[in-house]
Amino acid sequence: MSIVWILLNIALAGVVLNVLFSKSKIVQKYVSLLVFAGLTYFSFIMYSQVGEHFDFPLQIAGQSIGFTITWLNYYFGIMITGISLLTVIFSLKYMEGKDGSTNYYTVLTLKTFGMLGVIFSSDLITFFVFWEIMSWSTFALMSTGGKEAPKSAFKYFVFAITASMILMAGVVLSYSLFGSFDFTVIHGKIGTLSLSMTGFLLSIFIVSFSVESAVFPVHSWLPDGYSNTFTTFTAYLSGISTRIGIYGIILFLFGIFGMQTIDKLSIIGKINFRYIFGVFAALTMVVPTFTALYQHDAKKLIAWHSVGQGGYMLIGLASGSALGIAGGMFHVLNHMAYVVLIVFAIASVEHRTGTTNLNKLGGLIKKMPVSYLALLFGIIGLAGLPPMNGFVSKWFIYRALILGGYPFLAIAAVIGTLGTILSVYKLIHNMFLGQLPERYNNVKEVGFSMQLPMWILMIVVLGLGIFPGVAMGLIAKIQISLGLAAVPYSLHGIQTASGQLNMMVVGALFMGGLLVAWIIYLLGSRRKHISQYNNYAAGNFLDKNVAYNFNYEFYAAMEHVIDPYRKKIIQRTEQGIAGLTDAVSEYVRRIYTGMINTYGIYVITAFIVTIIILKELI
Amino acid sequence: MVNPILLIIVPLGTAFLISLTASFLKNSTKYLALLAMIANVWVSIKLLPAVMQHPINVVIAGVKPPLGINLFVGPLGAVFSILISAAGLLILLYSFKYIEGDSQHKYYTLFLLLITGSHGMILTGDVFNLFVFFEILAISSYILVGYEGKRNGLEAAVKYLILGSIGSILILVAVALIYQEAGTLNMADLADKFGMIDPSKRLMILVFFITGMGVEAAVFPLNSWLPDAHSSAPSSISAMLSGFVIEVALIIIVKFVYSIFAMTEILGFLSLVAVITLLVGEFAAYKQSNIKRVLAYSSIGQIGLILFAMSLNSTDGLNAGLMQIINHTASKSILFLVAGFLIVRTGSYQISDYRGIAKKMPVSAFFFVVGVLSLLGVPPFFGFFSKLSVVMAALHTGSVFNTVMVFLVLLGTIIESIYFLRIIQIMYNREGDVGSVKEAPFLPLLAIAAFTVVILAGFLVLPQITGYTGSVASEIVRKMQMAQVF
Repeated sequence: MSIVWILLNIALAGVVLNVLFSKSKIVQKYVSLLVFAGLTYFSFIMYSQVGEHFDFPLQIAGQSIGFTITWLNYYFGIMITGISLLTVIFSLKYMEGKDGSTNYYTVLTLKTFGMLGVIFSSDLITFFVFWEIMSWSTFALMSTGGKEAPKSAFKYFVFAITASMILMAGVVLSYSLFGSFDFTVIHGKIGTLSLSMTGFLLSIFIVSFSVESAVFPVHSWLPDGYSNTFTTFTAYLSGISTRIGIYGIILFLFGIFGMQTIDKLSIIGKINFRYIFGVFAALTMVVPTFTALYQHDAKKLIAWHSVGQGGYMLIGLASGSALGIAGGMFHVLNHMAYVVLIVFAIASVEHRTGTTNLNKLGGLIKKMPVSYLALLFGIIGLAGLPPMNGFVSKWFIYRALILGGYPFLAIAAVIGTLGTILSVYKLIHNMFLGQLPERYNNVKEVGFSMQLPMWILMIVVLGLGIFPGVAMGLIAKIQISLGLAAVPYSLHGIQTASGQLNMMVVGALFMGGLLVAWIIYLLGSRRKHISQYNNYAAGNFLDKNVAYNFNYEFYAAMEHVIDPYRKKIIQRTEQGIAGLTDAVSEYVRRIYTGMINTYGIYVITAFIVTIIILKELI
Repeated sequence: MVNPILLIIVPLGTAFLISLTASFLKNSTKYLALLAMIANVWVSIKLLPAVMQHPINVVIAGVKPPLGINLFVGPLGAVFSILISAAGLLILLYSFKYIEGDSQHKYYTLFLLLITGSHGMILTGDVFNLFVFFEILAISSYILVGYEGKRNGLEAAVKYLILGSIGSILILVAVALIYQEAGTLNMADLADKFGMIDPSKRLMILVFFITGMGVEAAVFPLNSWLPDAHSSAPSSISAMLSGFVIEVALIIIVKFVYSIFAMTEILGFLSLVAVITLLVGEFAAYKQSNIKRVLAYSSIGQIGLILFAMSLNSTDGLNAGLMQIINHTASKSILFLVAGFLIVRTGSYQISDYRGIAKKMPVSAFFFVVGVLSLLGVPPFFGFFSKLSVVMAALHTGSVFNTVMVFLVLLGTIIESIYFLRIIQIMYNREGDVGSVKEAPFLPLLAIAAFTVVILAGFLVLPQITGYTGSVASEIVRKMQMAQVF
């Protein structure tokens, strides 16, 4: 019995049990815990079956379809199950007594089922079928939660169904070109295609996956979609769901089309397929990251970063070098760890205070120290500073871009990081630092079951920062299995001819730098310690109507600077398309006037037109 | 061996019997209709394995064709008979609870006549008989559309009547021209002789026949009656009209173009018309607020899709079109039947009045979702496999025209998904409250459940289904021959 079957059956059984026990939340909770624990266990031990292939007992168009285990999907498999398990553990307490949570575990399990199916599929049909299950369950997932959730889920759905239809065209087109759905067969025959056809087919797939991975300019569904649902779902979606799109891109770019084929797709000189893709990735890094600065809701802010960080992964992949691809893949894992950590910290604060509004929170550091630490670890990772994991993968990516001769893309990556640092500072300041609003006097730290996932993720974020070799070993295996060069790695970093990275040294230097700064701070005299309740108002008379809060409109000045450059082109384009559809629909609807005399004219016209046209044809 | 003529005689005879006994059996006449439909299902199922071996030819009244009249039952006839009688039986069960009032016998009489007409059109081997059965079908459906006697129903029925009459006149002219030019009305004989007719006469026959039948088959722009008729008919009738009546007319066009006229040159034109029909249907449905109008326009879109698949000039395309017909019959029936009780329970046709109805009618809402998902072609429902085969058949032809058409078809699907999802979101709205609304009764739900089983379990018996549809497709592609029939 193959482990893929075990995994999918456990997930499916989880869905069925959750539906059966939809009346009892207690049973749902523990069934889900058990199911996800099982999934995590089996996905971790799956490495023993790498390279094996399993057919589904059903044939489509005479083709056998099924699943396969490769290092690439093993990597994504453990991420999916691991993060789902942590989400469930966190949810046990978080979801208690929440409205509209009847289907919470059902959709979570279904979504996991869909994602596992997608990544383990070995042919286009299985891939597409599970892709659809995944999209629909994402829609269901996003529809739960707040009042605005159904609306933003609907927006996601419009994007997702469009992507699905494009994907379907790609699937069928591949079949008619290669006579097979199987990935390895297609990979073998890809060289026989003409260049224009290769480019067309690849574009179809990449465009389709770009929607799921929220690449600029088709990212606009993500921030609202992810932040209007339950906060735990925000974590789960930002952490792994979007990255299935990246999985698709990795699989098709390197696994199916292959590096050699892609590099043939050149327009002029350096302007080739990868470069164009890289430019979109760079836009994905920069634009959403600066949009994140504007957000006054912690969940939205992180959701925008989810878009932006996807840009780093893609730009790494687009660089095409071993280091860049390794960086891109590693960043998927790193991003997952720190973003889920951040959102869990936000969820903890929300659990105790009931809000994620950054204009209202503040000063919670002493009330919720563990959550604070979690958020601190997370944002250091997100900003890409040592010694956390985000630094390592971002370093790979910067280095790959510079060595590969893409200075503009490298600059874009640095600008993106600048925006990230600014906005995560806003996040931690407005939630935990500064003055404590009086209404939060009695706030307590969250319980153990919510702390546990945060502690685990903190260990992962820091651990992967200091021992990146743990993940690099797996990534090297993936690269070799995809026919790419692998990056020579050591436990603390990498060792290549062009340079090396030792995170022990980097971490120590960074800590040393901080220590020096701390000493300078202590030596300085312009310090004054004030209590968290001290609201010094510089002589202004304070009443209830004056919003005296540092947190309020945190980056007002910066927003003022950026504002003229925000053209809202995407938003206007989307509105334009929606308006056009409405107008076409309105116009078409008027064809059916309801007047029998016009209908008679239609029949006569149709009759005459048919005569004229058929006369030419016969 | 069972005689396929039973498929026509049983409902026809029962329809008369119901009229005769109505005065003392009152509303119990519905059980007569039930018996007739069960008999029909039984006969059609018995028929299928037999015709897969060899087509059955039944000579009526002992006079051999081309002079006499015959029924010709190949895989096409058998598969469609099962579709018609099975869908008919389930919709009849639904009607037991749905149709109320004193003069129900009228409904059941017309219901059976509609079944008679549909079976007759599919099974007959004679062009004039085709016209006769077409009239039976058309007239009974005109009356059924206005059955409820409400203003909009009657108005729709009159529009349908006028346009349908134009259609049947065109068909009648085509039949007359055929007889004048070929000297025969037997389909197989006509297939032999059609090539010998003067090209300009052939053109006229073709145009008269296609436009005439196109009215009933709901091809744009001949389908203007459909949104009114399908939306104001009783929901059970809407389910029948959308579920198989328009498909029957469509399959007759396809059958004539391929196997009788053998004019595959015009298929390019038909596929263009099909895609226009599809887009018009989907875009028109996009902004409707009346649930039954949405479903009616969506039927136009689906007919476009089916015709597109069937005009690809390949066995794969026909096969895909047939699968899509099966899918549409099941899923659109579910949608109309669920809509029927949504309307009965809330007293409103407006989608906005169903806000949060899923809490009160959870089973109906669930069935509605299943119907929508299958109609949209979401895996693993049956609709996915049929839509996939349509796209595969189209792209397999390798022509640029068809590739462009496929992208338009997929655009249509996107529009379709958006408006259906909007309905589902309204139905599942958590804040909405529809007051004290009860779930639909058991029997109608059972009938709907049977359709859902087809959709859900369809992929388990996919090889069998494609086996049958495949032989129907190869029957259509092959030109009919007198020698082959006798």
